[in-house]
Amino acid sequence: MPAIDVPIFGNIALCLVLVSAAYTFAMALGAARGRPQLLLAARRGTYATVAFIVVAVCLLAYAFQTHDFRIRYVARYSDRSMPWWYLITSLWGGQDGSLLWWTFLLGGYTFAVTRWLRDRYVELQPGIYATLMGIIGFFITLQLFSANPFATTLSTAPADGEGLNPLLQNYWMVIHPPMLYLGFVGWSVPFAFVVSALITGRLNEEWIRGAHLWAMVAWTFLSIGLLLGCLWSYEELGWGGYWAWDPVENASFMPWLIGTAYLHSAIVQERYGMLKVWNVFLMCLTYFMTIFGTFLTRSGMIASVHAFARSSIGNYFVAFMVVLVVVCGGLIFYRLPRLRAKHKIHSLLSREFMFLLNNWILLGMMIFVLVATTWPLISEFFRGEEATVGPGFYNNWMVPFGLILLLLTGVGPLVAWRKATGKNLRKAMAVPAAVAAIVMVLHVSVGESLGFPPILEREELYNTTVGNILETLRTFSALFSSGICAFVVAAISQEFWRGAKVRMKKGESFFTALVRLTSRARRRYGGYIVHIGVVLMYFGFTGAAYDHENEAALHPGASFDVGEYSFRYERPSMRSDPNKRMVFTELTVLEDGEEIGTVTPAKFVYRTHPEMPTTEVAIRSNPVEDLYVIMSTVDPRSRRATFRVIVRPLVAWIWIGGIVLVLGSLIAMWPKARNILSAARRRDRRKKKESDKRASAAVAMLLALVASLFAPVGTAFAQSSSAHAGSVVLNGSEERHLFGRTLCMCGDCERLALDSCGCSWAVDRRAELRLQMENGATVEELLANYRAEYGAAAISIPSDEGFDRALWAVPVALFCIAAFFVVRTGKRWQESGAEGDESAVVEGGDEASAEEEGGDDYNDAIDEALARMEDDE
Amino acid sequence: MTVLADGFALASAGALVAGLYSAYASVRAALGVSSELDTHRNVEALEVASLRDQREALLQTLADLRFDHEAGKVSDKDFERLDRRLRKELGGVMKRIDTDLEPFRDEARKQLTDAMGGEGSPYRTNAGEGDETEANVSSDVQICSECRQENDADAKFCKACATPLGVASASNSEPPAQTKEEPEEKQGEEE
Repeated sequence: MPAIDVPIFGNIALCLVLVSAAYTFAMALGAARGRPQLLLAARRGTYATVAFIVVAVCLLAYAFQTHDFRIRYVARYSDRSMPWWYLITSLWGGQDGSLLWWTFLLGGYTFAVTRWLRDRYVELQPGIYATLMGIIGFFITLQLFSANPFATTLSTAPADGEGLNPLLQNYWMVIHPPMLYLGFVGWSVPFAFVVSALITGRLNEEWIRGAHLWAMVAWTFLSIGLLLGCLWSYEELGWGGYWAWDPVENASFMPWLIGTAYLHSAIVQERYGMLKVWNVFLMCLTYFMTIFGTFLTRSGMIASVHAFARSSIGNYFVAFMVVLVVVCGGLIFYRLPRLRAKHKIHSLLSREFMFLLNNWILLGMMIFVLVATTWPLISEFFRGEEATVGPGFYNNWMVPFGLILLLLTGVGPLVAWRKATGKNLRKAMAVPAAVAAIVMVLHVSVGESLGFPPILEREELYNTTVGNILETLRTFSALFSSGICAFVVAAISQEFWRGAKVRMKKGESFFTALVRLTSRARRRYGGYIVHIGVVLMYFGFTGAAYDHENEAALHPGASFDVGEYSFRYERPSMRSDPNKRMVFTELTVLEDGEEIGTVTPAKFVYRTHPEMPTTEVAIRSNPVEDLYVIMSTVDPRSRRATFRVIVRPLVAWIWIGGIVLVLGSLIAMWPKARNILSAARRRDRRKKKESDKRASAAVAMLLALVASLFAPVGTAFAQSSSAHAGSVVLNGSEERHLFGRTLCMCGDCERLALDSCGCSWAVDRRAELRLQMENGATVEELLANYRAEYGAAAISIPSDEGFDRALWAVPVALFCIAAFFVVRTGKRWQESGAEGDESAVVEGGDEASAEEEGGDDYNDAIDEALARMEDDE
Repeated sequence: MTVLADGFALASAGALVAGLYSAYASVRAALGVSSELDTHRNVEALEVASLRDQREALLQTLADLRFDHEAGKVSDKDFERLDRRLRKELGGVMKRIDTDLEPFRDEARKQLTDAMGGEGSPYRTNAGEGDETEANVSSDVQICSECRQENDADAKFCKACATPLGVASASNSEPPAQTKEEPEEKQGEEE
């Protein structure tokens, strides 16, 4: 029996958090209503709240370490044999604990932002604290009433716990979920800024500046989380891909899209004070999408390989989302008069308008993903029939969006602010366009012989006109994307070159100029570097179109070919450790008859879960292509094994691009971070004690970060199972087409297609379908029959007819309507802008007088300060 | 492992103490009985601090604009207009910073001369911590005119009846802020 009665103390700690958050909320409101002395009370209240959260988390950690199996959560996610590090990671291994962990991370952000705000944005502070406390209050309520991590078992405590799913005890699970969490939770802070701005009516550029650093932090973590998710999926799941458009993946992708849109349009407001309503809306929407995404995955509303079990917390999330919509909507409506733009866009050919287009595309993508992700719900609601939307649908529809977005990353930076002249633009575009043309010509002329044909093979999505158009687009997408990638890289290089040239006029060498340029305008050039990262990633994605794939069942000594490689199966070997039995199979890789190495794909069978053998993929990676070798089955007696090999070009560039992207965003964030440091330095002189506190705060945050870095096991994947994700030998493209679209309906492995599901139900269905195919049935007929038999949910790509058509038609319609609004807004701005242009001088005068106590005598001081900035950085 | 468990137990106890202390401090602050200098500094001098942030942000925007202009991304006419507007705004902010700091500067000059005048270093540190101001150097307390309650020398409102105290001295009775803002101002200029 442990020394501390954790269940009781834990519940008391949760109650303390709730009380403290409510108290702080009240203090913050008081401070907002003109009683500034309460601000200090609110600040200390947030510290108290965070401290109580820490109490709760430490108590739960203590319970895990002491094996306090009275607690249901501890009994379910740990056992006595687990090493201490897995006991720590079990903290967020399941639903209840992960909600506490979520609150803990939010507490970490709250602490950091409260320290950071010390003498900044005084007027916004009360609203920020109130918002954050409100969110913490919600999560604690959720835990106290619905998913209590300290809940005890009804009967007496079991002697040992159930232990953690061994599949989750692996390396990638260490960093991926915490990073994603940090990204999700992080959006709370900029959201708090915007709510505060709405409450106080201080809707100028102030909140954008304040929120910028925090939005960047959240965005970076979210990007890292997404990337690690891809990497994990690619290296561990063994199905050969990195992105499956699974609801959980989409749930984190949607806030990323909107957050990206926000980061761009915020720049416009910062400079010209335009798009105020829009930015406020985007920030609210980003936060809403993080909650919505959590709701999707936590409530079990939509079937997914990642999903948690169905639970009642969905209702709480619905209530929270309703509150969010009402509060944000109400505040925006109430403040609408103050959100009118002061300045106008001058031309449709301007940087501002490019940002608007960027927002349009990103939002369009988000709507598309949103509709497709929630399609099962929509379908069930309107016609009482479940449906499924598989990756094939997204992959086809996202091609045009992706290409336009990619083009914009290149064109945007070239267009001048306010009003670009045709001449300037032509000059700026000349080189990138020429480079793009050369690359496209090269692609057409030598692509084929290098194994990258410019025109892809047709593989129809639908049998209709729309399907035709999409398909045509897709077949040309390889050529387009190589051209556009070249264009963007050339355009951004040219930006760096032009920037450096300006500085070189002042006598700096090219290299110095480049470094200083980047360090002086870190945000801009960091942003460009992020763009380069995106291009590299896109380049990597296009590789998937050039896959070679082959499967074979071999006896030792036999070999088979994939693309230019051939693989010789040498021998199987078996090893075991206390935890699991491992079967390795050794293959020799030959390129043009020469041995270039060996690969050893394997199967691991864990003792605790013998029914779930895991597939351990062997990957040989180089910048040109990856060899991805899966061993599907091996018969220990006959030593016969089946293999599946995918030769996928350019995959490495996705990870390289991801690293570049993260580096770029770090560069873009840096100046603000430096400000923090210098602020700390300033205070250091004033009062040593405080800087100590600050340092300890920083250390605490860092520790939390490191802890999250080194903590394996993910909640998001708590029930992922690769039991079924084996591989299947397919013959011919027709089978691939058919089995790719029919899903296993055994009830245990939803959403897995027949082309990858290895369960016995799937084996039977495949045999059945093959027989029918041999008897002359066409793929269409078979799909129709399958659908009639098992319902719409059994088909991974909804057809292009009847109600199913709404799946793409609704988003496309919304997208077009949005296009209309974008152009109309642009036009309207242009008209009023034209007037403004003529009266520019007068207007300038007006503004000057409107800026009240403007001081002309400060011009020298300003010049001095600018010169210092230049020298300093 | 037991060490770790003990560690967590200790950590939660520590966090509990920290939380309770923060809550206590918070309630004190809310009731207005907090004697810490923080109370005043947070409420008062924060304005200067946030003005300083505005100045930095505007300077950055201005530098960006200049750079865009040099790179040909902003037309001459547009640049002139925006540059003028930003300078006006920035000038306004800088002026307000100066106005806000002026009393402190005078005060600092005065105290510096006093200190140099003879009493030596102890006086200087005293001035830095600052309960004494020009207006009431002689007394540590001020008496409320309404209810005769004794209040701290630097109090702005009576703690018993909330009547504003010593209007004349209120505007420059912030020596802590002064010691903060002076070095900060210099630091800001160095950057």
